[in-house]
Amino acid sequence: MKKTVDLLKKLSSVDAPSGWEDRAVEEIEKILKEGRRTKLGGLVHEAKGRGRFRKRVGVFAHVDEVSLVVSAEAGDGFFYIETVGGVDPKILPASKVKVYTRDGVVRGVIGIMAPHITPPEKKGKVQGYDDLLLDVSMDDWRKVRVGDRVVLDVQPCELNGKVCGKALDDRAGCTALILAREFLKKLFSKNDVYFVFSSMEEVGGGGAKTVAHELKIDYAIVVDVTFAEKIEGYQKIEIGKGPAIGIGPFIDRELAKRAMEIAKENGINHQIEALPMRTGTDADDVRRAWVGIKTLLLSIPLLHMHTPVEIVDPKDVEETARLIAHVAASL
Amino acid sequence: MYLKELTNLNGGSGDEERVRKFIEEKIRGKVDDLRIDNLGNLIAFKKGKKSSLKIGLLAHMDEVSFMITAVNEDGTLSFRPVGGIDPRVVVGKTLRIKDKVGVVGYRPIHLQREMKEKVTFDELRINVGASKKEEVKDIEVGDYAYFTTEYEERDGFVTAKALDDRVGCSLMIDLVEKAEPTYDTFFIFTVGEEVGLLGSSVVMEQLDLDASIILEGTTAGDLPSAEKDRWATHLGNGPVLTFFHRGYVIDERILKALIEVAEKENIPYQMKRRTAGGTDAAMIARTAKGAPAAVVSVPCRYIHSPVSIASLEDYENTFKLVKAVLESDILAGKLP
Repeated sequence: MKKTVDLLKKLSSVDAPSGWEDRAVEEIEKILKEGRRTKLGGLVHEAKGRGRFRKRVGVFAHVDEVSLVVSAEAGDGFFYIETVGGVDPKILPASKVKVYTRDGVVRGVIGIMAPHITPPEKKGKVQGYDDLLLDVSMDDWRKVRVGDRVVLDVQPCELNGKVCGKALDDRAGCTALILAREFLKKLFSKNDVYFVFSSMEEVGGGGAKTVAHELKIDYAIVVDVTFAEKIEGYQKIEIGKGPAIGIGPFIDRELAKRAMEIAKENGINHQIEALPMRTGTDADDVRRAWVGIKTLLLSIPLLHMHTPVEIVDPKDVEETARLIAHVAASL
Repeated sequence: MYLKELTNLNGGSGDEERVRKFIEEKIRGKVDDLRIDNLGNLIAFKKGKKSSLKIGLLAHMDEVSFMITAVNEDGTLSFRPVGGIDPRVVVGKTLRIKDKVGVVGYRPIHLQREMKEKVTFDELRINVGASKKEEVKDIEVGDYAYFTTEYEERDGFVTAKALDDRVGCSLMIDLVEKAEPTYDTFFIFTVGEEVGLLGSSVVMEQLDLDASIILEGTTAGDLPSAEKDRWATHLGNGPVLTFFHRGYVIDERILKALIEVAEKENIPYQMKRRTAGGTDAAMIARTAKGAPAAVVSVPCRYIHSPVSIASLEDYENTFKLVKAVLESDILAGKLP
């Protein structure tokens, strides 16, 4: 568990906004020691199987995280920002940020006007991106240019055994893949398994789908996170109760059933997530890659998605890893 | 015609098994080859007199349906649409979940504060007669729920659920049985159309067609409550040709070829006068190397509801038109 927590924290603390995934990819490369880069900036790590008739199984987690971008200059060290992937502007006021410029990292804050001088008509109003200002006046702000990427400057922490931080969507998935790779070594794996750390999920950019096409895999296991909040009309997915196995038109039914059986056989906690339409993950695109790929979706329950205080239970990450390994080895 | 059997079967997006099986049984032995691909599309091949062109006919097997999303403490079921369904069509209806039925009730009129309150899936529940969670047997999150309308035929019209697109499936089986195609023809029964053209998105990577015709049940809207010039199509006016819809504008060459055949054979046809909606044509045209596609539809009133209506005469004329196209060499000079 210690190892899982450390891995989660380490990967959470790396900054890798969509399209600028290199830092996370490098970190994972160091951990896995082997791998090759994909054209769109992801990483593929191959684990050869020992079966006579080997299937090709791709396991996907995305390395990119939601972020901000400098969109305009406001003068004197102030800038306007926009979101890349869905960041709720409500979480931004009074945050420290890092700006990745061509000349290194510049620190700043997104401020908010003190209550004393906020005009009555603006009191309590939610600020959108048009009203928020990035303030880098305290640092070397002349390095900052439009197009530079901005991430929240937060460090992960532990909360009663759970891990809290930014970018756990989907570094929790990446962690599960790394653990699954370890676990797979202890199993007899019939199949060739490709661990894919893919790019650009948060902007729908096709980092996973293109690799699926290139690898011509028979099966895909997409590993992402899902809401652990109660959603009206849906069974609640809970933290600490294991990965959620998705069911719906974008997921291969037999594969989902098989995953449930394998989970039961191996005493792996799991939950069921009904996905009546699109899944909102790379599964939607991977399923339609190449000639169509039999796709499974495993989701790690997570609280406060796309905020700097995402929370996951490391137990869920480990259960997910075990399930990945057992499914990938035995298909 | 297998419209009765096909519309009475339940097959939502991702749950097409029963429909696929039925079709497979009907056409096996009548085609030269048949297979099911990774996504569950059923692809049958019939050799033509010539092999210089590869023609694809497509109809989707799935219908709009529902999925159980929660079994609640009070024994009710929460559910969501699989495909585009207006929540207003479900109120007061009976749904089937596996071998069970449930009803979608609503607050009595007396207890509604405002009569025009909006109906949403957030609040709708299926009642299966259970008063607590433990009483709900054999129903799980992820199960599909279906409209229960039985096929009915009267005075040249049919009333059924799922006419979109079992009407296309039925036409395709008829064509497998009765048409002698000029060119090699693939009969492709797709999955997941209603959730975003899922099945058709992997067809071109497998088949590399030269041209395709999508057979659909399309929306009519020929109602007194709508201005006549706003009707999309009209029941009884024959097969519908689409010139443009979401994501694709129909290739001039194929559209003109279809019109030419219809006029030569004296088959009535109408143009769809709205550009709303989309079909598998968009995916065939834009995936892999792509191929031009046409859309020929039977007009259906009230699609995506438990009671849609179509005219058998339109069905017959649609069959005639597509058969005539398949048996002609009209596409030969038209395609590059």
